[in-house]
Amino acid sequence: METKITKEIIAHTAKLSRLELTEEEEKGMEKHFASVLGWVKTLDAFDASSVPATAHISDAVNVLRDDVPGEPFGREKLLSCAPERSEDSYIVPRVVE
Amino acid sequence: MSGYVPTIGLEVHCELKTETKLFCSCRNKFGSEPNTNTCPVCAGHPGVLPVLNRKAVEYTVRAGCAIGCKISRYSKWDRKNYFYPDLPKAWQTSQYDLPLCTGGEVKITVGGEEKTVRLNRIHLEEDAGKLVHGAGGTAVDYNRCGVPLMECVTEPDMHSADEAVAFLEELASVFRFAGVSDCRMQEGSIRADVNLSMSRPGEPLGTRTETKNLNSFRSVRRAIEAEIRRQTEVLESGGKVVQETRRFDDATGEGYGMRGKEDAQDYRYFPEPDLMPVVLSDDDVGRIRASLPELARDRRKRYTERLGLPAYDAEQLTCDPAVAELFDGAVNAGANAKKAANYVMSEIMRKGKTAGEDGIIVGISGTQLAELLALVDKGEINLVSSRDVLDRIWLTDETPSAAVDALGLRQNNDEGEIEKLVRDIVAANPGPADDFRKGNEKVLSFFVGQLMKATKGKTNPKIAGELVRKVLSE
Repeated sequence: METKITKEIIAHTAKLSRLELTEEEEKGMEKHFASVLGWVKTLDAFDASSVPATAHISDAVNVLRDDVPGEPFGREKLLSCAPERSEDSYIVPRVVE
Repeated sequence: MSGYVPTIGLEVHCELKTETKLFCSCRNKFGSEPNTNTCPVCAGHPGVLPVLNRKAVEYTVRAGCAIGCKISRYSKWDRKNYFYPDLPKAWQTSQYDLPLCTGGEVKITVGGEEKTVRLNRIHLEEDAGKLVHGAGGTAVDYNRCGVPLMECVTEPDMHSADEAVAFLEELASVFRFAGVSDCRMQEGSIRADVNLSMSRPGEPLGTRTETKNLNSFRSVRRAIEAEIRRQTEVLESGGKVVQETRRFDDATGEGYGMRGKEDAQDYRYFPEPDLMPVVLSDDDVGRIRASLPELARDRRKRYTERLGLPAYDAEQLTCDPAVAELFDGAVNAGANAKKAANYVMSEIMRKGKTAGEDGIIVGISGTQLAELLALVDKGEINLVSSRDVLDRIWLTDETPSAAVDALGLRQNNDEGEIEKLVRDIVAANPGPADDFRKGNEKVLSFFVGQLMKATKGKTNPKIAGELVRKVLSE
């Protein structure tokens, strides 16, 4: 499947990733995206018709744990990693829907 | 009449009542201090690995069995990507093309008519955190982040707010009785999204809108009614309904479109590389199916057909699984079904309901209830003092009999002893005794009252009446 990398695709992807790109950066990204896709296209040379589709490279299934609570990790250790915080919560820029 | 008929489909989210979260061993507990039930996994730190909770898989399968879903023998997880601070990883781990359960149906009764609402699927995913919007910024609490959540998607089989609410009530009842979710609206453990379109009979379905995150049955009803009115007005004035995601404001009773969400559906799902698929054998499914308790509908049938209870009683007793369990426990321990039902519907419901608006707390066991009713039956205590016994044994293991003794409530049924007391009282009150002999029946209650006063109400009132009459008539 051929995907042409357009300005619109770059703008849309940037928006989904909450990135603000300058026009210059968008142009650069367009080239970069195209080269990445071209590289992945190498896979087309491989005949995969005899290989069953899979979502994972490992055969492992049912990796499960019992429903038993562990030791609390400690709020302070986690909150101390946050760029902005209050005493008990993470603080992010006000989001309004 | 506009001639437009609504078509409604629901997406219902129910939190599972596991001990821990879906992918880490943090507690799944409502009402904790903010961010105390968190760890690097559910707080979305880099380099962590999720490990799936076995119980969450079992509960989802059990829920599927309860409503006749096909249980997938091979199921996998996917990433649903979106940027919002309620999910620190920037994706929600969910199930896209291979959910745990597909199909299924729920029977509802609306206006005396039975109807079937089909389900499309039930999948298992993680809940998101809670945001509190303030003036300076938004505070984020990740206690709920990673809590196991079942998403149940219906087919567009409902055509009124009544049907949608009846469906939600029945689904919540099934999940509660199946023991997989508390479905407490107040705690947000069941929430619904409403998909709604309007069309004329015989014509193709109209453009639908989705109203998200309704967290009470009442909001669901009001949101549906408001959206039916809005879409009908748009269509009748010659306009077109725009496909959009909407919110419903409980305060104003109005829905509104969410701006800037035109890309919201672009979730770029892809298989979750950190989680392995779940493969279930027929034995696994059989074992989980066998663990399914008797559901409310089946219990109601049994109560009316086998125990001979009125339909009203059966309905009341199955309002909550704990109430039904108590009733069944009492009957199994030898209580008379109708007497147990009456006591549960009056005393237990009264006492249990004060503990919380959302659901009922049942503070005694079936065995305790059966014994309490037997004590009343045998005349050891009367119905009024049974309340004191109930208060004392509530949420304890104490036997009603021990409580009766501890409270000194046991009624005196010893006729010889009571007769002696009656003779003393009659002798001390020659005037009223004379009145009785002259034909004044009313003074009988005076003597019974005196007897009760002397024994602090602990005389069997039936025996007291009989003996007073006997002594006065001599």
